[in-house]
Amino acid sequence: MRTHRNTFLALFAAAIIFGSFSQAYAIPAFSREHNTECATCHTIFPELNEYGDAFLKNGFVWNKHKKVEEKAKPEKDAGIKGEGDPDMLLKLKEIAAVNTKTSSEEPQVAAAAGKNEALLLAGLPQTVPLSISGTLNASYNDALAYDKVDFSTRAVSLLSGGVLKDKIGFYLKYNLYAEGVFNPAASNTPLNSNSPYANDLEEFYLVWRNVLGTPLNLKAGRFRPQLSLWKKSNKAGISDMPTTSYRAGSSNFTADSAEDAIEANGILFNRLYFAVGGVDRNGQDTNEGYAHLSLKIGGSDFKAKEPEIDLDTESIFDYIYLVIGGYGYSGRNSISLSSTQRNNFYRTGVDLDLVIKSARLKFGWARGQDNNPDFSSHIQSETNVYTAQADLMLTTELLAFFRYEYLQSWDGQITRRYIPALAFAPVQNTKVTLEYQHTTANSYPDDNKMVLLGIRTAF
Amino acid sequence: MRIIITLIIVALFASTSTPAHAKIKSVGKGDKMNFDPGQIPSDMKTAFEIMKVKCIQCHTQERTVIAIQTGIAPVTGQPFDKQATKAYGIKMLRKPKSNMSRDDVKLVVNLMNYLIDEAAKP
Repeated sequence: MRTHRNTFLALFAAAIIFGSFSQAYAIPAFSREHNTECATCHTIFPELNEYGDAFLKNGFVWNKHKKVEEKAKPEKDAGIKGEGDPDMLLKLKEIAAVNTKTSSEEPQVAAAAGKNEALLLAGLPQTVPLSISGTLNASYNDALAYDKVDFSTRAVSLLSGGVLKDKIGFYLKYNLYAEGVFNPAASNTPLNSNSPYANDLEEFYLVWRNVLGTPLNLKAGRFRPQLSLWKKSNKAGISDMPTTSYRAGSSNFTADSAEDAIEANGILFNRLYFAVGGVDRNGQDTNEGYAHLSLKIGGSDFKAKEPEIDLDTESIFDYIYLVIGGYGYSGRNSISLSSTQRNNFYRTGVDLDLVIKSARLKFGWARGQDNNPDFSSHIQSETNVYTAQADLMLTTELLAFFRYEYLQSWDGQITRRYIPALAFAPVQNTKVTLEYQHTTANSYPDDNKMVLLGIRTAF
Repeated sequence: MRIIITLIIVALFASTSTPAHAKIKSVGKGDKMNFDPGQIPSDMKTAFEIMKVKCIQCHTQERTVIAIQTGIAPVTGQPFDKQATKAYGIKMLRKPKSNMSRDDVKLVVNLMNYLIDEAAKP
């Protein structure tokens, strides 16, 4: 019985933990392109701060505030007139138009920052937008009969991200190498999950920003649908948030896995963010999609504009902000295309993210329903997950957190996990994380203990 | 003809650029760049010392010098005016572990506003 329990807990922990190694890391390419430090967007990378979140939501563009938009006059201000070579005249008009449209100050900034003006005018990134990230992980699992210590998990990924002329954002993560129990973005597309190349291209998507001058952005490709407030990689620890990483039965669907999808998203009234998407699944013949809505109260808005604060008056509310988000996902999957067994499912959840200066509280609740999670018995099951996490930035390099997880799984099992962790970034692009996981399950008398040590670097 | 075209292009860029802010002097280069201490008024020396110590914890002083000299924040490409200095001050005040008090922020914002005024002088 004990062996059975240990095996279950070890598998449960391993599924969650090693699944977490499939992350879209921080992108040093952004740091190079914008000549700014990782800490601009991250607390301890790859966890995003509110500016990193705004950068992501705005399609990898530092949002232009209204003041600049007003300054950017239409093409007529370019004032190119005259006769002569019509082609040359057209080119001059285009150059002038680009200058005024992107920002009249950009050439001067370019000169001051040593940027290449030709690349600027062409709308291309000033630097080759490529980065490499590497991860080494070790674990000690008290429940295993052998191989308690495992150093064999490592991964190397190629990352790319940027924006073209402030119009088309792009992001790519290509897994170059992985070893050990590594299951990057386990595809929930049945055929793809069996392909030897399924996990190579973890994410690749394009974002058409502000479509036709509207607040709407269109995102297409392979990416993680916007459901939870925290994208899979948006964390300082090693393990994933249980609300989006849990699985039901034999279904390989998780709410945070990458999918082939198209998504419309945007920011309304500066503090309301929405995302609506459709997912394509091999063998799919019914609609599958999701929706997300979040609201930010206090702090800078979703466009990174600072709040009005009276510098002469002290107030605790100046240091507080709260983000509330909700989501829903409805879909259907199967083990293989040839199988007639289908599993209709939905996921829904609510997240709260409260930041009080150096402290951060995260609360998450998720509920899922599957009508055939083992692809055979057609027994409907429900899963409920609750989690609470408290972060404290002790220094700019050191962050401590404690997370409590409660998972009432589809088969009636109740699992609780207690996770204290330390994340240390001696330099901004390198992080060492030490995480302890204490897991209890209602049907087994003994607890499971696991220690994880992870080193991650990106350059 | 080429000379004319070149002149037109130069004129175009000149017409779309903000005025040059050459009044602010700097010393050093790259990450060692800083404002010339000689141009800091005596009643703002404290603010300058705070800036020298605290701002460089996260970014080089070169970024601030370029912002003041050009009137444009190098990272975001946004105008760096008095409204922006206050916004950056608020950002630093709210930033975890920035180690900047309200008084620190007020002093540094005042100093940056002074430097902006100096830079704008003809």
